[in-house]
Amino acid sequence: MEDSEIISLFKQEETKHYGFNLLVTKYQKKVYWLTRKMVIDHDDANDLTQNVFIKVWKNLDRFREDASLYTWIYRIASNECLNFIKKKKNVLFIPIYDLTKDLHAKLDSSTLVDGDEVSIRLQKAILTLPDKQRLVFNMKYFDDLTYEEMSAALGTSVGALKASYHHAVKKIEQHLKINLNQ
Amino acid sequence: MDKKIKHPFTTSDSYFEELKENILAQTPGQLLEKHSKRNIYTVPDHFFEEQYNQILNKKKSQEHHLFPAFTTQRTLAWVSIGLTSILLIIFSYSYFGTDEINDILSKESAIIQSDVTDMEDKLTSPEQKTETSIVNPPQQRVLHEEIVDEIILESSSLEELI
Repeated sequence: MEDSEIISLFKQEETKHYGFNLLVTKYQKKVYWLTRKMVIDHDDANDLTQNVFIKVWKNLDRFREDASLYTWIYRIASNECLNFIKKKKNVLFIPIYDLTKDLHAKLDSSTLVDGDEVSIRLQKAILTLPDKQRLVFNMKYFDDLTYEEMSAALGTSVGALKASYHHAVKKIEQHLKINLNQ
Repeated sequence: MDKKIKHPFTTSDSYFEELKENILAQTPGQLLEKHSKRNIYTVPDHFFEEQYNQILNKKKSQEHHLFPAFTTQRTLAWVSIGLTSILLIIFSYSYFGTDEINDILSKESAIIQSDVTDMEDKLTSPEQKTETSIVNPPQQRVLHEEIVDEIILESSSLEELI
């Protein structure tokens, strides 16, 4: 079903719940995978996905249709992920807490990760990127979003996103080369 | 003679393969292109169905939150907060307030009492005392005159008698 149809169903009182159910069905997996790649932990990704849809439920009435629903939901999900990571970094105000190390450990220990060694190395290389750059890389590389869609979702210019992705690719390849030579 | 070779130069057998590898290695993104974009993360069985239900349940609870007065837990919480604060006010008043208030009241009453006695003292000042003594003599004089009159009368009556 088209986004515009979902929105019009949502905006009518008698079909509001039906419209929301359709929206969840359509975007649930996309939001979950976006958050999962950012926070790695399954439970955290589950909580974040639920929070994203509750925010969508609360704010969809105010959604202006000049942006696409898809990018609007991505924007909420991106903000949720970045805020979550920021909070986690500041937890207990421990300056020595290394989130990257923590996420690496989760990748190694989680039973919900199923990939060959090369794929896991790639994921670890991605984890070395700064948070927003990691988000940009995931959106472009895994989700195949266009720069225009990413720009609408992240509120960043297309030029800045291109540069960010280019730098991310260089860093990841550098990381992979070093690790493959070791 | 082989028609394909039109120049005298030769390369190693694997030269062009290596050249291609080198060029690709220096072009950003080529190494990543080799990797499959396969998602390595997995979820438990029936996770998305469960999550779907969790989202709808959470949405329902959010709808109740729109009317917090009707949410039993919240109402109870507010009532208990209100009662606790009232009890705290009563307790603090009875423990810390009474002595101070009594002290202030006794001081105030002492001040009022002293003011009253001052006023009374002022009212009974020497000037006012003289005024009262001035008031008395005419009365005494009247009495005295009356007595004198009586005496005169008596004496006149006596003279008449004599």
